[in-house]
Amino acid sequence: MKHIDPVCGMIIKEENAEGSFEYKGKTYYFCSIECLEEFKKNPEKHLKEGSTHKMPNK
Amino acid sequence: MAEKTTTLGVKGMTCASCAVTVKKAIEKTPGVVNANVNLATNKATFTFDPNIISIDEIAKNVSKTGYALEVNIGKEVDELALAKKRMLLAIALIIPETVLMLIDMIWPNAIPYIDVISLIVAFPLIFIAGFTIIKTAFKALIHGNTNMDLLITMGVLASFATGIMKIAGMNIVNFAFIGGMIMFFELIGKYLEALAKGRASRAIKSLLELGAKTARIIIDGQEVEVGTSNLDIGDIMVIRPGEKIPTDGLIIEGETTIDESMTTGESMPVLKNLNDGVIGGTINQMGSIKVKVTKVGEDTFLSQLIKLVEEAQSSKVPIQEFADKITSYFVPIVLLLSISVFLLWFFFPDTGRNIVTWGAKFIPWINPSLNRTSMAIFASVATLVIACPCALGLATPTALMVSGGLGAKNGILIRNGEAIETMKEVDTIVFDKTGTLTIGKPTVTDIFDILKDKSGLSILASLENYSEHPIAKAIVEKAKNEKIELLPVENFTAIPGIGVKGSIKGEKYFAGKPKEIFNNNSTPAELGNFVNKIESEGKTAIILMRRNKLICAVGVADTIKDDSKNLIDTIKMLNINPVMLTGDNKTTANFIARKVGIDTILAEVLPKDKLDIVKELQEKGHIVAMVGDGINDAPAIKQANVGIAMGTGSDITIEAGDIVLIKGSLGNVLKAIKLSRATFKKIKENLFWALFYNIIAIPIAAIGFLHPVIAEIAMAFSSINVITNSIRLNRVNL
Repeated sequence: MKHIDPVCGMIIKEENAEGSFEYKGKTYYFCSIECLEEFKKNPEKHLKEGSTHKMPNK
Repeated sequence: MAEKTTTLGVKGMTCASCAVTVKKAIEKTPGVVNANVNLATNKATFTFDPNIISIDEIAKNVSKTGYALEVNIGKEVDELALAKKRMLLAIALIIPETVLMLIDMIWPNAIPYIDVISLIVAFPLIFIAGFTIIKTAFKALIHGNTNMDLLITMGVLASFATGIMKIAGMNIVNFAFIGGMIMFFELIGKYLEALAKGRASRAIKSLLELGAKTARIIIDGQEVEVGTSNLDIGDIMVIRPGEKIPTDGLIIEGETTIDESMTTGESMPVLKNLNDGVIGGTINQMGSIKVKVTKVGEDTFLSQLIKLVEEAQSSKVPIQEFADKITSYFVPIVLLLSISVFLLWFFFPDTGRNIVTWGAKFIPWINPSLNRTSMAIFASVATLVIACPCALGLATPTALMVSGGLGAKNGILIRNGEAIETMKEVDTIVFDKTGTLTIGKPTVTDIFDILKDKSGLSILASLENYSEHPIAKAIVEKAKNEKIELLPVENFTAIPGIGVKGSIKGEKYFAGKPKEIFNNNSTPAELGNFVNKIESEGKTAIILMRRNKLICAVGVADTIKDDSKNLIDTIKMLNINPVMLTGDNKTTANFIARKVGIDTILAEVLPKDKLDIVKELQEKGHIVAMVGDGINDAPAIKQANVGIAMGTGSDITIEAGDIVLIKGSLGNVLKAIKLSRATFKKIKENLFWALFYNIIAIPIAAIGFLHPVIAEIAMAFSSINVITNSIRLNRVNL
């Protein structure tokens, strides 16, 4: 399974993720510990902002 | 045995002898089973046992001969760009040289120290622009090999040396300018050759370009665009109308039509539903679909296709072995010849002078007043240069390359180069009926319904819907195609070998073969006629009864493909005798054979007998091509002189045939015949043109009539002529 790192917007495979974090019943995957820590600090901010990263490159 | 076949790039090959040397070096390595080296694509394909030898060790052996295997793929050098650079340098250097040469010719002795200047001007052209040519030649020489660059190098160096000898005080004409000129034209020729090679291999590149660059996949519920190389098995792709399918997969949502002409050569779009497979590189037309990725990278259909085409291009046509043999003896012979020419001119100058004086009357560049050493060098350099059999090495591979690309575009893969040569001699084509001349699965061909509301088929199909029998499936499919609604059935029972029973809307029905029912009932005349007609055509009749009263009958048969009749007619026109083989009974076989126009029929043949039939035909002196669907016909296809396997679906039957027709359209059999004939003709033409130049020109050069510079231009032209001749294969109308 592929996921999007909500902090940096990178596409990562579940098995390659450096860390994961469950928030409000959903598991998020991260490319690095830094992203994971960043997310833990303020999950809501990244879930909102993250959506700008997730737009397909147009 | 765990043998592995690998294709790697080879660097430094400039001529056909190089290819032969590299091939020998790879084959000499213990653990290597066989090797093929293609000069036109700069690639080596070899089979080896990885338990005995590693690729690195094979590469080491190759590098000993002065060439290099590109073990790390991806660092491919742009040969064309390099050749262009060298050519531009050569052009820049040739301008002052030409000016000086002209001045010296018109006003002899006008330029002081002309001999020294000529060396200074020719030096960068020969030793800087032409560095790689000289390097390749010497590398080969050190390892005891000879190649065509060596011929050019020796010619150029001998010319340059005359300049030095002149300065040293010898009585000799200074040919240094001519040496520079030869190198200049050699570099121009090399560039044009690289350019033409690029055009010839464009067919494969165009296959590669068929692949989509990006895909849209669903990640965390959102569509994200990714490069196709980042796709993994299991990813869900979203494909909109008009987009290319990024990679092979299964439709999990939506329905559409897809243009699969790239894989089949057939232009009709194919309807695709849930669970249907799609092929990367084909074009989605009508609907939006979601596709689950099933294959990525090298496993995809497109990659397999490219691999097969590349393999086919490096396979050898027997006629090429003859060319290779000539090439491997050619260079040493030419060296000896050139030395003899030199010696003859040197020791018997008077005989030569008589010939040259006569020739000077009509050939402007001959100068009978040259002294013996100068004349000897003039003739031997021209001999060296004109003899270079570069074109010989390009004759077969370039033709195969163009034909491979052309075939692939039409759904034809010629896997074995030998087939191209054998195909022109084929006088008998054996067709396996099922799946080749016919569709290969039963369909409903006739319906006889005595009910007023014509509901017979609906009831019959509803009953058969519960059965797994192929005939039952054919009936259900017919109903679905006619948009007939199926009804629920109660108390369904299958009576094996006889038929099926069940109740619909409270009425009891029976469906099955007429024989079983006629035993218990009198046959209505009209039905009897219908059944007799159906069975005389080799079809199967299925009847439907309601409470012992007959209400409907259908005929089921494997149907003939639309293009079968056309194909057989054309084949007969080509003076090839068609033969039909089938495991079916004689009645069915005869009916189909009559319809398509085949006179020789062998019915009720067991799979193992197919092989013997092909053998028997061969023993009678026939050259046999066998067309089959590649699975049960494999032994017969192997036995035939040319085996033609019909690929099924999106799997390419790799091992079966010499020629593979992707998604067996029979028209492609004809195209394959045309393509092989055209390709072989091209190869023969190429070999003729390549040899023609050498055979005509060597004697002319030896007697001193040929100017070395003109010899070089002729050689470059010969190579380019062969390549462009191959490219013209693209114009063949398949």
